[in-house]
Amino acid sequence: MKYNLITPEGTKDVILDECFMRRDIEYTIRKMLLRSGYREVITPEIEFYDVFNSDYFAQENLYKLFDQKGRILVLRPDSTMPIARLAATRLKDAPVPLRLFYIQNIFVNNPPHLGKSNRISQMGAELIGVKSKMADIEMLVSAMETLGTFCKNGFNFEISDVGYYNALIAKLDIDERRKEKIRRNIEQKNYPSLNTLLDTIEQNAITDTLRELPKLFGGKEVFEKARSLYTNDEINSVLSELEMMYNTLKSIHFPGKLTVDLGMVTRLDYYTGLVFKGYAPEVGDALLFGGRYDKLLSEFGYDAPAIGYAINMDSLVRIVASNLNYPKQPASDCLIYVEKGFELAALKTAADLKKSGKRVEFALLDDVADAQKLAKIKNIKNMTIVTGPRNENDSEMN
Amino acid sequence: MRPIRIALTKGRLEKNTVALLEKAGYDCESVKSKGRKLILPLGNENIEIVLAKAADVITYVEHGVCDIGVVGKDTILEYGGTFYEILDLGFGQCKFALAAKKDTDLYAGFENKVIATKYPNVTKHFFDKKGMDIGIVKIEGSVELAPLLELADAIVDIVETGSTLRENGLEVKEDVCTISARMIINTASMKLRKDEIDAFVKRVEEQL
Repeated sequence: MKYNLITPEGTKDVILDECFMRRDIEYTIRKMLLRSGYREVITPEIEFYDVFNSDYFAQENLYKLFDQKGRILVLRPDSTMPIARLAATRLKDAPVPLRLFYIQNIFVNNPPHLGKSNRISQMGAELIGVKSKMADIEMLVSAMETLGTFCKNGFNFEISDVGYYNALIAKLDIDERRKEKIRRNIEQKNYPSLNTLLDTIEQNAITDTLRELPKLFGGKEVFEKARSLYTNDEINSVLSELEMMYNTLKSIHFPGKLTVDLGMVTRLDYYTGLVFKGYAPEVGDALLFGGRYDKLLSEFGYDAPAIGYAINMDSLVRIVASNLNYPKQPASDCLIYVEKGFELAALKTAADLKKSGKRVEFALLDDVADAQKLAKIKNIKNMTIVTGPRNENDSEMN
Repeated sequence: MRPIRIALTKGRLEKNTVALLEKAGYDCESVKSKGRKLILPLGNENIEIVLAKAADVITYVEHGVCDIGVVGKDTILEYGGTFYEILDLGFGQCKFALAAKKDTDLYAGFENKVIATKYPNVTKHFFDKKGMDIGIVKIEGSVELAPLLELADAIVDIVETGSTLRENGLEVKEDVCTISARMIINTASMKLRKDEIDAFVKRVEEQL
């Protein structure tokens, strides 16, 4: 069987209007980030497996290949790890704060027939070397601004801090496997299973709080609720910092809705503190996620704090495409029909028109009538015929 | 904004779910007299019911085209997926069990055992936990046939009363896990339409 007419599972060609809109969005985002001092990087599509050989990535979801020396390569499943690698090596001596951004594809080898994309275009920003409230605000506002620019039907921006859950679970004297089970049930908001699981261990204020944790999402009332359940110094400081962040963001008046979800405890990932996600009504999953990852760079030998986020560009394009007013590629202003022997004159005509800001294309047809038909099909309003003995002959079409 | 969409598993769970919704005060006339329609409005509420096959309920909810789903734990275990699993609805109770012919000892001998099932992932997971290497044959229809025809040493299947097993000379060797109907919620909907979903879940939960 020859597979020369189709693209691999989970991939597709991005064409015409969709491609135009995608580049347009990218251009807008690039401008926004460049204005805030972020510098763009492009990392290789292929990396050594070792960069991703950690608990964060399930190995069955990686596309793997071998180089000539038999070393295992992967198509990058994420851009933050390569950027951590980059920051810890070539950019180690760059002045901090180091602000980087990227717009590139990641590759996830999903099981087939789930309707998931295996090639996902992402844009992301990373702020490396500084741990401060202002750094966090800068990142969050940058993420919210981006969503606000494109999500015209509204969006939901959600913040949390993994420190809250970590402080709670550290107080439980149970083995790691059971802790992981508890975490998973909280993440999935699986109340029945979480309760069954917690029933098997000694009851105290911590287990009572963990039972409530999946429900601890919503507006500012979440903080009161959390404080009424269980607190200690660590939890108090996590909650008050998060609440301060919540109030700060709230006072900025973004078009989106701001919420808190203390039950946002994602699996074995590299986030160490503040975490956030963005949702829009047009897509069924978070289209933005990010957080503080203060330990990740040290895995590459560079002990520096960092915070960043990534946005799923495919989702963003989908959202933008559903907005019928978003500009698509306009038709050319002028179609140029060239008589045989007048090629050079035609070139000059085209150059002059382009200089005056017009979009022009050649008809490349032998018959004027065909060219007129083409102009109609392509919705081109003007046609210029380049012929002799006069060099030009403008004919207006209606 | 479109109505909240609830995907219901057609068939056995459908009746129970409709009964539960009626108990919670929702007008389910349109679902009960649905004819061939697949999307049905729920009374005067801003809610639609979508009838789908079990595995499709997960797919629709995961992609966010339905916000809420009612589906058996068996399907969740087999197909997995990313969603919130917030309620055990209590009905549709049965269990996954490992069953074989009466005289079979599944742990004797050195040869790899072959297990027939409609649920290869559940089966794989069960034996992985035991550290047992087995062969799995996926069967679409009556799984009980496979050991009778000696294609497999045992089966992993849903057992309700166990009468099909008994009538065919098979018996439950071990329980794998119990299952029941669950309510699942799309992760984005849970956040974007919290108030509507909370209200619905609360009304249903009060009847459990």
